[in-house]
Amino acid sequence: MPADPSSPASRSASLGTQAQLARRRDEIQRRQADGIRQVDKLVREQREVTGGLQEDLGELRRQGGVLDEIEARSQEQGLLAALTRQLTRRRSMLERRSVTEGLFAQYELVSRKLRRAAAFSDELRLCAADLQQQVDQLHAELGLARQEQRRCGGEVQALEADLARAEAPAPVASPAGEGSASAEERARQVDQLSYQLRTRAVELEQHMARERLARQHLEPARQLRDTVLSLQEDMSRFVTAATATVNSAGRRIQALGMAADAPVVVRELQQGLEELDQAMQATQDYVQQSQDLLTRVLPELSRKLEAQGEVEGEVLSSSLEEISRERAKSLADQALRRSAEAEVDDALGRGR
Amino acid sequence: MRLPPERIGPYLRALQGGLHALAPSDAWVPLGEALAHLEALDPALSEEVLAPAELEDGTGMPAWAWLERARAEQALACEGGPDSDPSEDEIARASGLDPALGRRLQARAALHRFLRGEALLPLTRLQASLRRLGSSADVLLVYDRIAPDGRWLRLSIDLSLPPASLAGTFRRRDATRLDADPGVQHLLTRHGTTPLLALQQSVGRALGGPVTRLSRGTLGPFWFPGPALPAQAPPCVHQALVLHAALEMVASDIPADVHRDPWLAAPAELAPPGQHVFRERRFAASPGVVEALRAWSEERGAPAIVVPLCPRPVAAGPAPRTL
Repeated sequence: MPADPSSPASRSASLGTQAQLARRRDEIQRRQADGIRQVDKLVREQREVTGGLQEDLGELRRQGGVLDEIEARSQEQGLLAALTRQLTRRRSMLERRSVTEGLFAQYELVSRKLRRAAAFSDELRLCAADLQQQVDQLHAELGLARQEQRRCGGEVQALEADLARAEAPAPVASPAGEGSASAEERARQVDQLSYQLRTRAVELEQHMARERLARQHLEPARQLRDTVLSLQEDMSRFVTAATATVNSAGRRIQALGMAADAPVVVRELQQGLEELDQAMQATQDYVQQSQDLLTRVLPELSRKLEAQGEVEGEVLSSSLEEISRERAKSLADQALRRSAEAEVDDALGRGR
Repeated sequence: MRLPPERIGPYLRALQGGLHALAPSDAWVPLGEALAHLEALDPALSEEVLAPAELEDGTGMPAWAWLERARAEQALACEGGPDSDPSEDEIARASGLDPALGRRLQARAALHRFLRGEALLPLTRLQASLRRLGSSADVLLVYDRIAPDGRWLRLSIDLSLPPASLAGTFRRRDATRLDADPGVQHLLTRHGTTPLLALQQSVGRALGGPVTRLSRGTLGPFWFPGPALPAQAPPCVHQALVLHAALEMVASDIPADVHRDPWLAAPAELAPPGQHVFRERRFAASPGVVEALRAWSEERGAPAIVVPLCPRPVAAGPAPRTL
């Protein structure tokens, strides 16, 4: 049998549950809003990282132009060229910039940004793990709410049956006047059972609201998590691909020093730099994709969350006075029916 | 060539042991920087943050890209400062959610803390100082570089310039330190591995004064069991650890040409009048092959110093920075 609902402890527990539910709603909303803000910040930071990287990759690529000059100069023929070379030898020896040095400096910049991108990928991963935890929590709340609904639904039905019995026509009173005492007792029972019925119905409604709350927030939470996960996966793939390409260019840059900027190595290096174009293209795609996240996906999620906040305010307003016996019965039927449907869905693997 | 994860730590500690055994003087790159760089790469500190572990095929030295990753992390660590490291709480939270991620964040934080306090080997670096300013300006140039084949190279160049030409190429920072025209560093980068006497000539011609002393100290190759060794490597070293330290020098205070490099044949060359060339190669080798390597070098007519190499123990903590 349910506990005595008329006790002060039970009343405050019932109010507490409602207040807890409101707090939980606020907490979920706050966490999801925080999540969106964090993802927004991460996306902006990511754009900065990849944008900077793209510029530096481009600069590294442009350095290839210097290599053309070196090659052309080394192929200059004729007496005048030879004389000019001798006369300007000392000056040009110091003026001539080592391609290797220039590329080293640019490579260092690119390498630093790639490291930053790798660290950033871990930040995204942590954010995704946080969001996954929220999703797990919502699933757990959903399961618990369903379980509680089943319990409350069963109790409401049992109370309804008790109430029907208590309200049934009284047996004929005995000559000793026992009938009148029994009528008072039955009236007291009816009052008590009615109160218990309403209390359980309110509790049931709150569990239903809790389920709706969890269910409504589950999709945005899942969407946010998937957004961050895909950002992280893309970032990780991009970092791996760009690292391989930049490392390959690095090996050629390093080899360039071996032959004092010899034309043969220069040509090889140019081929290596061409590979950078692919890395630059990947960066470009990546920046465009994050633009979509910033301008469409995140604002949409944010709007969805705000709209839910308004709807949720309504479902938490039920009170004892508003619960009629018919409504309690309907809620119990609804809860038990949905619980049975959910079990079937779970068994068929349709539940999410 | 890439090292499998389980070999990275032993490889780095063996190389550190070799450096300690050779005790390189200031004719080579700074020992402290070399040891710190290797320590940063060690998975005992940085786990997989700086992976993959890449080596130069020809010399067995850490590849430029691997070393550069540590330098890039150092730049980030210094740029962000200690506040940019994840907090203990963040690491604990990450470890609870994703243990692999937690370990990586912890390793990156430990690496950044280490890198903020250490100097690493530069890709290229030129330091210039004024030794004397009288009838001539005596200048010392020290140029460090990770060579194209992965060896660590230091050029030390003593120049005697007409005082008037000093200002054309150098700017005085204080009484002894000079800032060189960037062209000097570019010149040395282009010609860092040019044969010694040709390099001496080029530098003297470009800077407008004679090079009175030029030395080139290189650390590496590093041979260890596994990769194929050069065909001319002595058979005794095939399953051993061997680190080379070579020094070649041309100077006026060398009384006669000396060739103590059993690995390279003495080149046919003529030092400038009044100068001679000194070449030697030292080895740090596994204790079991020290005698055999010494005998091999003597057979080749270039007796080399061979010292025993003992890898740094794992539990010994950070390597000492000084000798």
